Amino acid sequence: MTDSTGQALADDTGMAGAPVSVRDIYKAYGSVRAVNGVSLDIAPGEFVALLGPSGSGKTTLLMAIAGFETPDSGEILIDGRDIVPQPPHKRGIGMVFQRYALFPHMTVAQNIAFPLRMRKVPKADQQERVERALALVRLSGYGDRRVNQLSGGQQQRVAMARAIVFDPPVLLMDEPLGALDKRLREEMQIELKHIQRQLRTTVIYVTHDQAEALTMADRIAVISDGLVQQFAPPAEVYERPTNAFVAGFVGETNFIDGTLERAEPGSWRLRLAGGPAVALAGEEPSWRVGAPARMAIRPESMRLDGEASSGPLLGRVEETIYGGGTLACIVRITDQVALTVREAAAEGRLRRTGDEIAVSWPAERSRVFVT
Amino acid sequence: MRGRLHRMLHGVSASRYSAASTLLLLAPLVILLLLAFYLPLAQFLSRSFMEPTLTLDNYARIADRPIYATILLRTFRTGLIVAVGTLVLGFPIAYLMSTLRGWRLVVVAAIVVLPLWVSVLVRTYAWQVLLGRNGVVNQTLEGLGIIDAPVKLLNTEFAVWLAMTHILLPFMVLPIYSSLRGIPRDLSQSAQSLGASWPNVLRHIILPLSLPGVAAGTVLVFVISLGYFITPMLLGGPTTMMIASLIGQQATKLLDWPMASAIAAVLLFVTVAIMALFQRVLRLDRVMGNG
Repeated sequence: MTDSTGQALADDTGMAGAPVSVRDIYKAYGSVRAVNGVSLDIAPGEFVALLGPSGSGKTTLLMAIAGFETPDSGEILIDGRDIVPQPPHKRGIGMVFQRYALFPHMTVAQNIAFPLRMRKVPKADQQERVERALALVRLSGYGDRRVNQLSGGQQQRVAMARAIVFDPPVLLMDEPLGALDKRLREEMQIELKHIQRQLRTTVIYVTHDQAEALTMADRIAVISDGLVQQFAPPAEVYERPTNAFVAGFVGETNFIDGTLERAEPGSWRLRLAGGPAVALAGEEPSWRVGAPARMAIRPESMRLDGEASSGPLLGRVEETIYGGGTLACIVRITDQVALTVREAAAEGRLRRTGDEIAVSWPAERSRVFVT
Repeated sequence: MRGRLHRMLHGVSASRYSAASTLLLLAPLVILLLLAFYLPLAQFLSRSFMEPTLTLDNYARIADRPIYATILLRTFRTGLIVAVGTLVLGFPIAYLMSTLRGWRLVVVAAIVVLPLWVSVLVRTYAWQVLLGRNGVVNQTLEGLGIIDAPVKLLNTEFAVWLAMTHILLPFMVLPIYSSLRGIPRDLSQSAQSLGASWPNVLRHIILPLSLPGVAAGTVLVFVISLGYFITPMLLGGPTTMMIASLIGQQATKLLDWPMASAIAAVLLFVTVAIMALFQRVLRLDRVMGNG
């Protein structure tokens, strides 16, 4: 951290975020285990998204880091120091709340100056740092406005400016863009990411929006049932999900249930209930002959009427959904199985409801999880 | 929230009802107030300078004799002390209530509100029993060895302050509670995350945002206590008379209605003046506009 009277808001002089280490955090409410043994090691300046459905424990974890929840056990280290015994106001962590939580009785500038006032920064420095923070979030000249005169996007930026004006080494964000409309949200995603790169603050960002996590994060921690399901960079989470939950939660996925069988050593297949078998690529230690398994394939990995190393499964076009650049084609294979295939819109225009069609895909694009 | 309220008050009603139908809807209440309140009030107050002929004699008497000023001053002092007392005692209770949920809230709210269901007279007599020469308070103090002989508690201004503070407490607690309840929880959390210790959260966030409730409670308690009659009479005795008792005495014992009405007019005028001042100083409109 910079000293309180000196430079505000990291420039090129080398201030950076702190490493955050979450170790074996447990938190239960009565019999409900909200956080059930979570450990995460976050590098300085890293942008980590905690991604999960509501009730997954991601917000509880964030609140434990902020100090508004006390974990039943475990440690949270910032810069190597356990902060669990510290009250929230001594942790020096910036936080942006879901509904911004701006103080309605203060102007924009007073809001942003609040953390500096609490730290007894001299008045003149306060003013200068508030100006710089406002410039950073592109709201110069808005200092004298009242908070309720601002639009949602502007309030969001004020909340951001207020959370970073005291140069916190760690910044927590709780679904900060949830209240904005889609277009503004996408704009703000890029802007927040940009600001974070400039400040090199460590960011922990809670969201249930997988697209947001994929766009913004350096690494995504997918959380469900109080556990980290996968903690990896976005591309890895998307392309190599570690279990069916992750595959289903991040991005669009087709699931096909079946049983594993082995034609010859090293050559595995998945047999659909009462139906054909499809070829699998490679081999996993967990695979056993006869074990029930679930295969996941992305819609854009599948081909219609094409040649690929796995499939084909025969079915009928049930519906086509136009999506601008792409076209989703839903193909009914059996009563239980319908596959969504996403193609470039130009090709997709040929499909008609009721057409018989073959679906195939490169075997190495599928992921198989023993259930 | 404010937008919705604004629409409710102005937008919707103005667009749905014409001026004529608005007046028609208001008419019953307006007529009732005119006939049953303002007309008698005007009639009563007019007696202060109309009897027997047009005269300001009654007001001159009030100005001349220091006893009236003393009583008026005592009344306002009592109002102020009671307002401050209920504020100091009531704010923590209101704050506690705002942090509670479920059955705990119901219990505390019941403790606050229940006394309202008991007649003021009964509560005043209860204080008489407590504060008497051989009352619980004196006996306890003697038993603890703090005093040697019973202290005079009854028929003092202190007894009046104490009982009125107790009786008027709900009128302070409820507006403050409602104001505190309206402060989003994440405001104090965000203040904490920005480095504010609990006293600082209280000072910079919770207190300023609860100001409309504090103001409402203070005005309510202050104004109610100005007109308090039974409690000061029973607990304060003749030496600590307040203005309501004085008006009653003039009207019903001395049958000097013009004088009673003149004193009432002075009370009304001074009260309105104080309220206007209060409004200016606190800028209630602005505080509420921010919510």
